[in-house]
Amino acid sequence: MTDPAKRPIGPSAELLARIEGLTFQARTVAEGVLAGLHKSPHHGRSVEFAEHKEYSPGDDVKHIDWKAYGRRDRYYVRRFEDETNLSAYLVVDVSASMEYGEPLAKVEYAKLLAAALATLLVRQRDQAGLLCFSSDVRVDLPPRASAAHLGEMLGALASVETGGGTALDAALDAVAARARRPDVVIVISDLLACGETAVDKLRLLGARRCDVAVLHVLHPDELRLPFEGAWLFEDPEDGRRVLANADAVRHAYRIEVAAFQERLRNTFAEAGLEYRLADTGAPAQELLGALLSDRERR
Amino acid sequence: MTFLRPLLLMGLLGAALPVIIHLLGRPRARLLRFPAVALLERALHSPSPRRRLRERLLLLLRIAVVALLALVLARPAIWEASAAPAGARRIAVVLDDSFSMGLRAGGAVLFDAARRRARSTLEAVLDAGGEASLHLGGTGSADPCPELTADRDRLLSALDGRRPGAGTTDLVAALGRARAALRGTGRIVLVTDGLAPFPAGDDVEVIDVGPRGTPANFAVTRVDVQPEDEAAGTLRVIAEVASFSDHPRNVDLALSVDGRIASRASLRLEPRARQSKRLTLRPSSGVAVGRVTLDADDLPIDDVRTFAVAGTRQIRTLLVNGDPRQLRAQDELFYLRTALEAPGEPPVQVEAAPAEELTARLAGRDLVALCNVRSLDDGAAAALRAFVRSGGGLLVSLGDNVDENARLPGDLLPAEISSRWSAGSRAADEDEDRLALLGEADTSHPALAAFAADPGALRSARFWRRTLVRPSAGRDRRTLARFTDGVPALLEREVGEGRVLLFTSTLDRDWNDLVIRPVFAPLIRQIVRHLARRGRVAAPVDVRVGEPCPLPSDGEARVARPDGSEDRASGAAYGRTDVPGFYRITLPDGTEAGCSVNVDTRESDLRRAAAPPQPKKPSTSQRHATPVAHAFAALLLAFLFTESLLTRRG
Repeated sequence: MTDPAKRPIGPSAELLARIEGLTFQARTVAEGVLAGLHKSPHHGRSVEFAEHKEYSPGDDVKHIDWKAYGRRDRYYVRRFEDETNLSAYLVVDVSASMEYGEPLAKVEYAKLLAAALATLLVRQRDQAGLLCFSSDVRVDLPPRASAAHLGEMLGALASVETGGGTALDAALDAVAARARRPDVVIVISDLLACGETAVDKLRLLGARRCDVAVLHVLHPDELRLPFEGAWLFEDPEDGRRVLANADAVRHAYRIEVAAFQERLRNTFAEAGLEYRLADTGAPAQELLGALLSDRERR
Repeated sequence: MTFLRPLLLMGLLGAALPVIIHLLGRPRARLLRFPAVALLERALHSPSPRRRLRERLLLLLRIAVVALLALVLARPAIWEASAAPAGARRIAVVLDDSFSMGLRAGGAVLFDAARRRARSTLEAVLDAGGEASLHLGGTGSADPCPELTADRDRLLSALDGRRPGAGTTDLVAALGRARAALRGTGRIVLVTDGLAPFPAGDDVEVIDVGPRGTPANFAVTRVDVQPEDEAAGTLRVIAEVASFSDHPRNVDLALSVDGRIASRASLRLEPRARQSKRLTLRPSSGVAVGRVTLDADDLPIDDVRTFAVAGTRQIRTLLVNGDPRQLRAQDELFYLRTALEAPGEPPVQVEAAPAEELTARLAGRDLVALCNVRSLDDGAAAALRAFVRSGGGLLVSLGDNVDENARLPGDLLPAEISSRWSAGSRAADEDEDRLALLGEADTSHPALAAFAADPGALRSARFWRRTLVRPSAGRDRRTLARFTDGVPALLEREVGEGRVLLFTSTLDRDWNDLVIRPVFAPLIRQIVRHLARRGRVAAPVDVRVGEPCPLPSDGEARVARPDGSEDRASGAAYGRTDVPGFYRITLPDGTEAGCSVNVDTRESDLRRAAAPPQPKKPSTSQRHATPVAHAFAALLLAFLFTESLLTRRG
């Protein structure tokens, strides 16, 4: 156990770096997505001031409040709260099964997707909320549209503890229990422990005119089983072990994975939910671009 | 089932190798935290049945291949009844290879079955560490292994190379040789068809491979050749065919000469009877080989009988002209040449030469005629002497050029030339009484035998001039004809192997008109046939298989055997007559001879000498193991092939 006396006060340098990194990546992805969409999200919007934020590298210099600089001799960036008409919930799976993958773990990929989406939403003056779950809900930030809220979300994403089981239905319950129903729910998960209950709850959300999109995160290894020879496969969540010759079982496994995807796709399609495979081997930008361009067309 | 090398069955342990390799070959499993275990489990529970079946089949095949390899090396065998005496370590196998063993019965040749049984007997004894000898029971067959030996390769290769012989059964002698090889210790195993009796003893165990019942057999038992028409030169061939069957049957007969069918005939053969058929043959020149052949039955070797006849041949003559003329009708040789060149039997080849060329052109001649030749040089005389002594013929006719001073080889002539004597003139009609005729003639002599029926034909010719000769004394010379006044007309002398005839008048029209008389041509041809070189074709002989073939003269002779091989023979006889057929013999002096060798048809009767022994159920010790490794090897190859196919498809 860590000695409380030695516990660092405030976020550690490592966490700060992770937040910075995630923020930067999310912004890069978001810019790329926007460039692909060829449409400025800021055009014609009316905004009102929300708060000051101390300048940090990467912030747009045009938002520096020179008056505040004159008063305090420090750079502050002005932040505004958009007038929004959309609230979105990003439901991110951070269970142990999402920790798989080299060099980019599925959970990192999921966080990147969530961060980029949050960035995009906030830039569009929409409200974005974040819910990270594993065996329980670990982060629950209700939707808001401020830049500070975005920073809070990114910080939460960077710092959330991963591991444990998957309780998607509990997370969905938490989303559904909100006083204000979100307009959009985006679930980012590998869905490996997605039971019928969770699917029913997703259907229910859809039935309540909630726009639900499921980003099914899978690592290329999970899609293709590229290993050679015999392996003792261990489930990271329940510790089950299976001995198998990857060469012998590869063909059957690929059939099972394809059937699994097809089953999910059909189930969600029947309920009017959107399903997209998020292959961690593919750039996140492509996935988000496709997701957003489809929604623009609707 | 047993194994001849049971220790090698240890190799069966190797059948575990594929399993061990399979287990060892399984890769060491490494631990991997992998989220999609549930999907993996589902995949494992629905494996490809074909793939799993293929893997199982491959493993089984590999186990079977190793096990079969061990079994093949251990030489699997099955027990069969064996004639090898129980516990015998010394045996002598007597294999009947008489020609009756060549009988085809039930789709197989008896000898093949006998050889298999002999082989298994030998193997049983050799496998038990014993020794054996191998003897043959046919006449004329040499024992391949006459003494006891443990040399497996020698015994079995000698046995495997055997074929049924052409001799008759002589088991008594073969059993005697077998007993001599055993020297009192050991057993004899006799493998025979049971057709010939034998003195079986307590030390003899018999394997009877003979046919069930009495098979029908037909054989050509005898061929006689007699002159039929001397003028036509044909021969009468009388073939005797025997039935060794209990049922009547029609058989076809063919006579061939030098490989060409000369005539055919059919015969109706009554059961156990013999019948003769007369066929006509016109022999070719030299030694002609004839065959009388029956349509084949189950024992073909006695369906053929070979014979040979000495045929006529062309007579090569050299006429030496002592009085050549420009005008052909006046030439000394005109009439003689015309008479000899006329078609007739035998054909005569005529060449003429002056006396100076006699020596050079003597080679290859059968007869030389000196017609009114006055003298010969010493070289020609010596060559002529050698020619006559080696069998050549010499005809000397006289004339104006020849008198008591003539230089002819007098030691060859049957008479001494004294003087020319005229008995008249060409104008015979002027004084018919003074002309001489041929009077007394010895028509029993071959040269004049053609006129035995009509001696008067010789008296048609008139002679107005002759040469007086004084016949010399000696048993080898005689006067064959005289003129009506007692003057010798034709005299003969034998010199060495050859003959000399002296005609005391001319062979043209200068001294007589014989040459224009009808009698001249047959007379001169008869004389030439009589004088021509003798011994060029020796009378062929006929012997049985295994009997020696007599040689007409000493010296090394070349023998062309019927099986196509060549051999050499010297002494009085050629003994290796183990194959039926014609043995063409060429003597050192070029004389052709021959020997027809035929089977002894006493062996052709396929009736049993005694009832076949009842087969006993063999005891364990009387069984022998027949290897069946080849079947296992075939299975092994099939498995290997299947394994490679499955591996390639994998």
